[in-house]
Amino acid sequence: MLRLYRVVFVCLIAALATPATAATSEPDAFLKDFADRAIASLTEEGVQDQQLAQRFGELLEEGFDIPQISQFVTARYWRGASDEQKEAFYNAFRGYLIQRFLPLFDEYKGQEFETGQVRSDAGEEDVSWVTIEIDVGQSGQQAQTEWKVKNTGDSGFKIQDVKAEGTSMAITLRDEFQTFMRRKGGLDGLIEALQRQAEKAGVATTN
Amino acid sequence: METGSQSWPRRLRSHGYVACLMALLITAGCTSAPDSSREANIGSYGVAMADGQTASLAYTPSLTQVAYRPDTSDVPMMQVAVGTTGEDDDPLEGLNRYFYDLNNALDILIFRQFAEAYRVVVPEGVRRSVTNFIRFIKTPVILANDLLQGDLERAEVTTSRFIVNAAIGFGFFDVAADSGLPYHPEDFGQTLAVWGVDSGPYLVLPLLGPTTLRDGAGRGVDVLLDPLTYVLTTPQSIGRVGVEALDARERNLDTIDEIRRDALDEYARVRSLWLQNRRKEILNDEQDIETAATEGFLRSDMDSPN
Repeated sequence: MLRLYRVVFVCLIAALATPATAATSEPDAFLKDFADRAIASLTEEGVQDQQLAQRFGELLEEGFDIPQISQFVTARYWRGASDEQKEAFYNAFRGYLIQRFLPLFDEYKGQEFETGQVRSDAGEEDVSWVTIEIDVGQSGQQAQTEWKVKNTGDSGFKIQDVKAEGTSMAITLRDEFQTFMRRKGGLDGLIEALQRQAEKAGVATTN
Repeated sequence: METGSQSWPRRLRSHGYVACLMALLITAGCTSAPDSSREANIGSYGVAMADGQTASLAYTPSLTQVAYRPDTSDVPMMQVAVGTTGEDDDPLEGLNRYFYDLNNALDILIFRQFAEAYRVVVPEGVRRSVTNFIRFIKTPVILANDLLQGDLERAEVTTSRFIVNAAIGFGFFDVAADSGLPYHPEDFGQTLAVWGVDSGPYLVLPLLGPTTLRDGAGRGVDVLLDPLTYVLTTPQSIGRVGVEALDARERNLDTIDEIRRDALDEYARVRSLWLQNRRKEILNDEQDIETAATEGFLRSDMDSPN
């Protein structure tokens, strides 16, 4: 939880240290390649904010399993949701993630990282956890992150969760969203709140 | 926090209670624990994950989730109460929210200001030494709990750390961590969890912040285990509480600011983060077991996807 998002951000983009590999047949190679392209794309000079947001959105779609994450973080509310609600949530959530993570790219200072151990999930086939140690700057401290990557077959690898120092982003969001929805108008209330947050930062939440 | 403590009723002013406050204050400010356990984890993840194997896991849909952890002293598998991380563990949410808001208001008005001033005025190296010294004088409590959990390996680390840091660092420099003996927090709440005691409800205490019934009670026992409880005078104990609280709050300035900016439901996010971190502390560095617990937990919600 320690600056979870900051760590996530650094991890996502800190790929410059390792040359991108063309082969993405392994989850760790996929992560390296993805991060490398993400940073190249999002730290390019002279690009408008609007365009950066769009690029970031595309990268999210490409590298993250947003449908699965959406379903996970809304848990039982997902089951009772209509297709329209699901789509509205998907877009709002995407906008929320963009407004949250995109500004962090401004802070990127060429941090380095190394992928470490890759292990299989305890139960799910096709799911691996990739360990990445990230230099968090202050006095050579390193942060430990674990990336949950699913091999979806045709659409390649997708990130489903990130754990930073034992704290799972998916679980944190789910716990928070569950409580929010119970108190503030269910899935529709959550969609509205996510839209507000995104739009406050000037990120569109419609397709 | 010293000022806050002084206005407490007289009966709370005994050494025991003051030290108890001190201990709980470390958990105040919501998310103080993660920082303190960071180095510990970094030190041993590689080993813990080496084989990628997982222990068996039983998920119970009741209040408390149970994981099994092989004990390091050749005792067969132990049942560890790791709890859940969401609202299921929070039957007292209404009351907790009340105290959360109260604590937040006090924090913004008073404690955060002190922490910021501390960061501005005191250089990082000195602050680091303060942290190191606070951990150093906690050694007896950590060692006692290592032993009560039957974790001889960690007890050895704790002892070695004490000797190395006393001899070379005078308690102010964590020389041991640099030579492969990372700090780890341990308390009686964790010991109870290892013994299989459920966490009980999540609690937010006035001034002291998040805990659970079990962990709050455990802090009281830690006070009794701490030799300094019997040595320090009341003003000294209060001073120690204050310094520890200041140290913890300063280290979490950025984290808490970020939560306040970002969360849709700050209370719920802090609860989840606190409980997840607590789970990690209870399971020590046994990453594979922790992961098994988390992954089982994840799947429990995913079994009916539509």
